Amino acid sequence: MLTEFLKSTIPCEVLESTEYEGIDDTLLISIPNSGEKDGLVLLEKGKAYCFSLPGCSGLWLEGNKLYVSVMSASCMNLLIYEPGKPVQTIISSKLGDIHDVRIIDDQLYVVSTGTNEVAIVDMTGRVRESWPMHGYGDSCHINCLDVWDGRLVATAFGKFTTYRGYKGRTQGSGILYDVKTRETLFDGYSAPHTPRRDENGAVYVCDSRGEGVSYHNKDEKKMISFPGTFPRGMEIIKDKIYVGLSSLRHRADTKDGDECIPSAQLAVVDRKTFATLKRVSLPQAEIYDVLAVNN
Amino acid sequence: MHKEPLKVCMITPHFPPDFGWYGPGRDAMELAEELYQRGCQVEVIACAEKHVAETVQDGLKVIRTDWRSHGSNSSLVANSLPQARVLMNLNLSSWQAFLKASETTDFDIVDVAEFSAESLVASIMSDCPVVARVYDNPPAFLSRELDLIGDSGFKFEKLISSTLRSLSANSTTAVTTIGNPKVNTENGKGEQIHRSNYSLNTADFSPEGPLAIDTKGRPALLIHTSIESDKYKSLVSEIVTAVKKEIPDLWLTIVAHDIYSESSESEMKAALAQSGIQCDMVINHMMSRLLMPGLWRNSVCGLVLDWKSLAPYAVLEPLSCGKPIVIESNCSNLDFLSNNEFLHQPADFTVGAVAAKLVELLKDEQLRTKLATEARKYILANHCRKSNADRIVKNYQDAIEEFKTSRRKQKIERMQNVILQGRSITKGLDQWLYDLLFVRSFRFRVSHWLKKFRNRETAGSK
Repeated sequence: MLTEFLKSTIPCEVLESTEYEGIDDTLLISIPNSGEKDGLVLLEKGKAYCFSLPGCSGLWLEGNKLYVSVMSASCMNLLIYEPGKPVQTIISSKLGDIHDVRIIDDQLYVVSTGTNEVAIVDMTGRVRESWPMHGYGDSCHINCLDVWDGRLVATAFGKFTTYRGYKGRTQGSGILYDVKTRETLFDGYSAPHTPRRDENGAVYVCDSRGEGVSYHNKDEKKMISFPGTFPRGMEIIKDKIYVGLSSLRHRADTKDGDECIPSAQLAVVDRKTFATLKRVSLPQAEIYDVLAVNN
Repeated sequence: MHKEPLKVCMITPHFPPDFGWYGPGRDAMELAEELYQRGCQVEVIACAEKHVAETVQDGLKVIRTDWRSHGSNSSLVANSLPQARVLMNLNLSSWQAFLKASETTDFDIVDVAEFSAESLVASIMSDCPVVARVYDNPPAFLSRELDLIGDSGFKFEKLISSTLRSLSANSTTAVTTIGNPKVNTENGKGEQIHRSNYSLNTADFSPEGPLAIDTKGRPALLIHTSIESDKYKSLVSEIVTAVKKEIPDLWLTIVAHDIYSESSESEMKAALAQSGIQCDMVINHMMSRLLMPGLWRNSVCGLVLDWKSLAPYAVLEPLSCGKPIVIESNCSNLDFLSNNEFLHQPADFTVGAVAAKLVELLKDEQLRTKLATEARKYILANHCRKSNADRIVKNYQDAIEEFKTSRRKQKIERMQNVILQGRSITKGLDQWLYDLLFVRSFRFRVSHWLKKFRNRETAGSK
């Protein structure tokens, strides 16, 4: 129902390829830094629907409602798609460069990377509560949210105090922290994104500059490596892990090696063995978030 | 006195984020936010840059209207009255949105940023008082659009626009001027014209607060400029080179307001270095919006170039942070400032003169402190959005009281004005049809000259 609504609401181009076949789940993939005709991809039944929704970052599904954050440097811009209803747009001029969105206990949480904080906003765009990190502007580069054992956690490039303080210093500075207490829970990452925790308590973090997904379960630590890529965006569903792999080639200030993938890919990983079962190439350069929307 | 929370309908062609964060639209946004914080219920009707939709923004309902013409561009009106067509479309879309909003909300007051005739329908409806804000300049997006279309050359086009504007302005309950525009007071409304100034949040743009960047203890200069054109690239390069000769450890931040691409700062820096501009930080205008208070606090002084489309905030923001600035003099007039003694506008805007002034500001702490204190004091007295909103709310209350007592008299006056303006339109229409046929039809031109010739012959024979 939601996917049909998206197809009828947002202009889209349909791509067909044998590559897209064999993916059992229906997935939404956000594409940041895209052109006007891009931004959100729906992989469904062997087809890729490329929606014209530029600048998409975080995705969240609450019932049949899809929340999409749009990266706009100068303000917060959120879109809500609900079948049968007009698309809702929520703007806040106090927040900016929104990287993630999530509903927790009926409250709308956003990561305002541009103002270095995680905030609760109401459905009229007002900031109700906020947890800023140390620093001014985009200094820590807070990016993705998750809830672990009732704790709201987020990944950030590090504890820096001035605008873009992380530039050239991301190697090993990345953290995963408790948003409300600012306590660092894990550290040592390089430009981390997408923290996820499964039903067994195992935690996964895209260690993006480390070119892999960091896995941590009790005493067991592993790195699921994707050399030559920038892993970001992940969905754990049944026996599979879907990992978004962005191409480093399109990123400024990055030297690409031979292993560099030419465009973004979606990796399908076996959850037991961590073996990559399949990689699906997308025509876009980057992926931000991956979300299953099995109708 | 009105006791309930005021229900305000604000009609303004420009309201950020659409079309940028400067100009009259920013002023409207500052006012709307301030009204909202005082418990008013505010609904905004504004033009859409891209998406026509009903949105919510910082607690306000914002209705984005489709102001562009969708009819054929080869139609007679599109060809002969193109600017009037754009303005009429803008009016029609805001009138339509106002009527729709009025179906669900019983407004206490309609506040209109008047550039064309946006308030006309609300005034004719006469459900509540209508107050107009008249600005010194139209929004930049509208000026650009009208410049792009160009002047048709028909006098009637100007007559339509000016008649609608004056009809609309004369029908309002009260007028507030912002930025010292010229306002026609011939209709005897002189005593109801209030004066106000562009407003900004002086708590955010304050000398005290966190710094945005680490300038490593070096004296920092902020240049707010366009950078894509060769003119400004070479100007900035020469000025910076001259300043660095005197102050070798200068920290240079460039806020570039004409860079829209996704280029990273490192790419931008490298491109500027190739043009001879060695800067420590370059940031595009969208990324910089939320950082500007911190960036200005970081700086010792500033240079503001090519700021017409950023007026007046590119000037007000540093002054509010207590930072002395040198500004390019021929970009825009400074009528929005009642006092500009603390600004530097070298009359001969040469590299030498600008660099010398910047070096003086960078070196002379006593001068800087004096200018900073004066600038901040001036901004607090004139451009503080809290104080300005106090006056606007007082004007609303007065307008509501006046509306209650003199409604019938006003209606008659308004209708008399409509009749008078209608007459001038009829006359203008007649002339326009004549001019149009003269330009377009060969037969009409022949008949025009024949008629003239015959008239002369008849007059001669008499």
